[in-house]
Amino acid sequence: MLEIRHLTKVFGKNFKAVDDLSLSVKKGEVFGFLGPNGAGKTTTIKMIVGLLKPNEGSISIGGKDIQKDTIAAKLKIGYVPDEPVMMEKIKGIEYLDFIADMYGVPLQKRRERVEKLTTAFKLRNALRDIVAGYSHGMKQKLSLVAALLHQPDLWILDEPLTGLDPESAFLLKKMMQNHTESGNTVFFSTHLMEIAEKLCDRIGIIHQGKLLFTGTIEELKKEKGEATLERVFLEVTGSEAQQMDFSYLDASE
Amino acid sequence: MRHSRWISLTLTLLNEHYGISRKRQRYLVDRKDLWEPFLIFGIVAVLIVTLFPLMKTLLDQMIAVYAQMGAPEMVYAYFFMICSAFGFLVGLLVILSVFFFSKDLPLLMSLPLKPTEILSAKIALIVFDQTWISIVGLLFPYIYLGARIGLGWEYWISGFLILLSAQILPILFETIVILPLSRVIRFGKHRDFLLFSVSVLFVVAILLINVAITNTGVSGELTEETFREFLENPQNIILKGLSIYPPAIWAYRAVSAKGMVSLGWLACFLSVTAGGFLLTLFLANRFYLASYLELQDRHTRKSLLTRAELDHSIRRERSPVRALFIREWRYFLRIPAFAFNGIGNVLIFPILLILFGSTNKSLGSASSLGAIITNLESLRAYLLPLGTLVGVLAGGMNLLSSTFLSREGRMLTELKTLPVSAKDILTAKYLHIFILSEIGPLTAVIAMRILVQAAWGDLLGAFIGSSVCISFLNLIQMIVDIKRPMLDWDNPQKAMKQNLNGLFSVVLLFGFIAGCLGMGWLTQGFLSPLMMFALLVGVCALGHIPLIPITISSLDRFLLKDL
Ligand SMILES: Nc1ncnc2c1ncn2[C@@H]1O[C@H](COP(=O)(O)OP(=O)(O)O)[C@@H](O)[C@H]1O
Ligand SMILES: [Mg+2]
Repeated sequence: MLEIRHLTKVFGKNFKAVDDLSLSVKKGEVFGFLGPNGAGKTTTIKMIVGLLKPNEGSISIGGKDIQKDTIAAKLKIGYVPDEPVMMEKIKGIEYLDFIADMYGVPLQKRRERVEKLTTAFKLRNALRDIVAGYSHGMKQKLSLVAALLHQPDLWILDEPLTGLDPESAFLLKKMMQNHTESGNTVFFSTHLMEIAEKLCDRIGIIHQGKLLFTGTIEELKKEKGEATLERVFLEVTGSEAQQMDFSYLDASE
Repeated sequence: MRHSRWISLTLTLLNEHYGISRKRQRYLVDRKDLWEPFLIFGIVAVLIVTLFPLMKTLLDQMIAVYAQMGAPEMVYAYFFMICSAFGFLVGLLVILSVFFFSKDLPLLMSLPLKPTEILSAKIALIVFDQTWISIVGLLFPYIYLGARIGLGWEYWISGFLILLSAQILPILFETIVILPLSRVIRFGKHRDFLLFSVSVLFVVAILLINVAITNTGVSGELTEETFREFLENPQNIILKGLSIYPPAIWAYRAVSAKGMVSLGWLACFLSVTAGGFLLTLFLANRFYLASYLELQDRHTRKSLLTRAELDHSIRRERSPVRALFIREWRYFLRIPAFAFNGIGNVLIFPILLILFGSTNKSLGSASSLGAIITNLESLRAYLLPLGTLVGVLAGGMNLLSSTFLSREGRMLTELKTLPVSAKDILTAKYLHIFILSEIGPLTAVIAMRILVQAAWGDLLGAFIGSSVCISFLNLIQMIVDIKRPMLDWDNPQKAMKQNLNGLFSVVLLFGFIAGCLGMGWLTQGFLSPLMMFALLVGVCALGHIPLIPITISSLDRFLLKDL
């Protein structure tokens, strides 16, 4: 479903935020994209959805190249950014209607989906209000609903669980699983290990722009001989956090 | 102690507003984009050089007329009026967005500052900003008139102080209207928009009522009685014309009287300004904070959204172009800074026309516009091409096309992720801008009909002709904005007002018009007016053929690039 080949993104003169990254995500998979802050997750995702232009490499979505066949590729994607970007002075429902127009969702289907999704996310009554008055979490939920309206083949979520209340987070996790059950694909980034452990069929670990590992969590644990994903993660990314001494934080004076 | 805090606040606001630290870093330390300031100085220099002879001719004519009536200082008062009128028009929007909607307010509100301190610092900022109007519009007439007639020290002192403070009264007047008004308007979902509209309507209404009242006093038919009165005491009539805006009378008295009398009127002008300031501070204390906080509340409903309501809101499927077109209008209308700047820019010409018309009417036929129109009689044969250019002038200064991408700002990321082509985006945006800029040709045509009773054929020709030319200019401006959009603004006002592309569009427009006039003058011997018109419109129409694909392909490339 998603094919990334030798993807490289250079910022400034020679800072490689993403460095020769190749991976493929199969249809029906939940793929977790793991990495510490600043690893290059958002940069990769922005290239997948066409917000950034790669310096090298190619990305194809369901066989459509995002750079050459841009519109066809975008039609297959539902993208939820890490920071919701939407018009502030527009009502929630006007926003959803606009997005549905963009993706050509038929009238009856859009009504049904808007009703079901916003009811589930407890956003229904807020639809009549303008987005400027929404809380951060509400905006994020609106953005989630908008990304699901056209039943995308590939759902791309950048740190989707940060900022959501526990109920919505639970709901989202269920939706991600349901989404793949009907044959669609989910690609999401996170730095939360327990989420990855629970949800993902496969994961990829990115660190300093390089993909260090792809495969199932079991494979990874076996390879590294560690008991929890968290420890594996710390080891793979070469973190010294385990050996650090934090006692100075508690020192009273 | 408090005093120095206020100064520090004001200086910080000024620094932020003009990006002084940022510019100093960029131009003086990093030495980047140095061509920008040079370009601006160059453009200003060219404008001064080209406008100087024009201004000089106009001033000479006006001075001659008014000197005959024994009141040459009227020229000063006249330009003072025009600058004040501009200050009124431009200031209102600035006031509203600065007082209630600027991004730094949440920060300022959280600091231990009094509402009066915040508001007076903001007023200082706005006045500073607006004083450019006086410098552009009044400084030259002030110096030229004083030097040419050889006026005394009273003129130089009063004229200078009045010039510096000319923009304060309009701002204060509007603030005094807006502050209580903002307490009245606290209903509805689109409060900010409502506040803008009601305030604009209110101020315009006051001005119109004033114009109406003064006009009934003077104008009408020139009866024998008024004519005799005019001959006996021309100054009275003149002053009546100024009474649309009483401070103009005080200003006139201050620059024309001698000795203590002059200083007395100057003191009157300045003390009214100071009094207005005190009244503003008083009102600010009473109303400002509460209104500001209330405007931050959003309208929310707790009741259940029924399926019927939902179905009503989601009514039809639209094509991407249609949906984008609606998005364009929403984005434009619901962000007051865009709506009022955009509409204001296309309305400023018609408003000026009405204003000139009414002032001239009340000043009698002796004044400048009357003289100009009489001179125009000799140009009547050229009505069609000239009318077309007037239409271009009126509609071309919209600042909408030159900021069409810049206005997206952060929203550009939304546009980039949507599955739509550059062509669809452009079609929607182009249509939106074109419809708005048509206000220009429309008013130009109406003005042609009223002022010179142009024939219907000429009117239709001028309308279509100027529409074609405006569309051509709009496309050029759009390409420039695609090449260099300004996207990192925090305040929508800046996207339009502090955008170099806007300056470019003004230069382009004036260059275009000057070029056309020059060509017309050169070819007047062997080209008929109709031929000139056909040539002008034909070139602009043909210009679309290369411009349209260039615009599309450059937006296409832009959308693929990084932000
Ligand atoms: N537009 C940009 N210009 C320069 N550097 C950037 C830009 N965007 C991201 N970076 C840098 O690239 C690296 C990866 O960032 P990002 O992909 O956002 O990380 P994360 O994995 O936390 O999402 C970071 O070091 C960040 O500072
Ligand atoms: Mg990120």
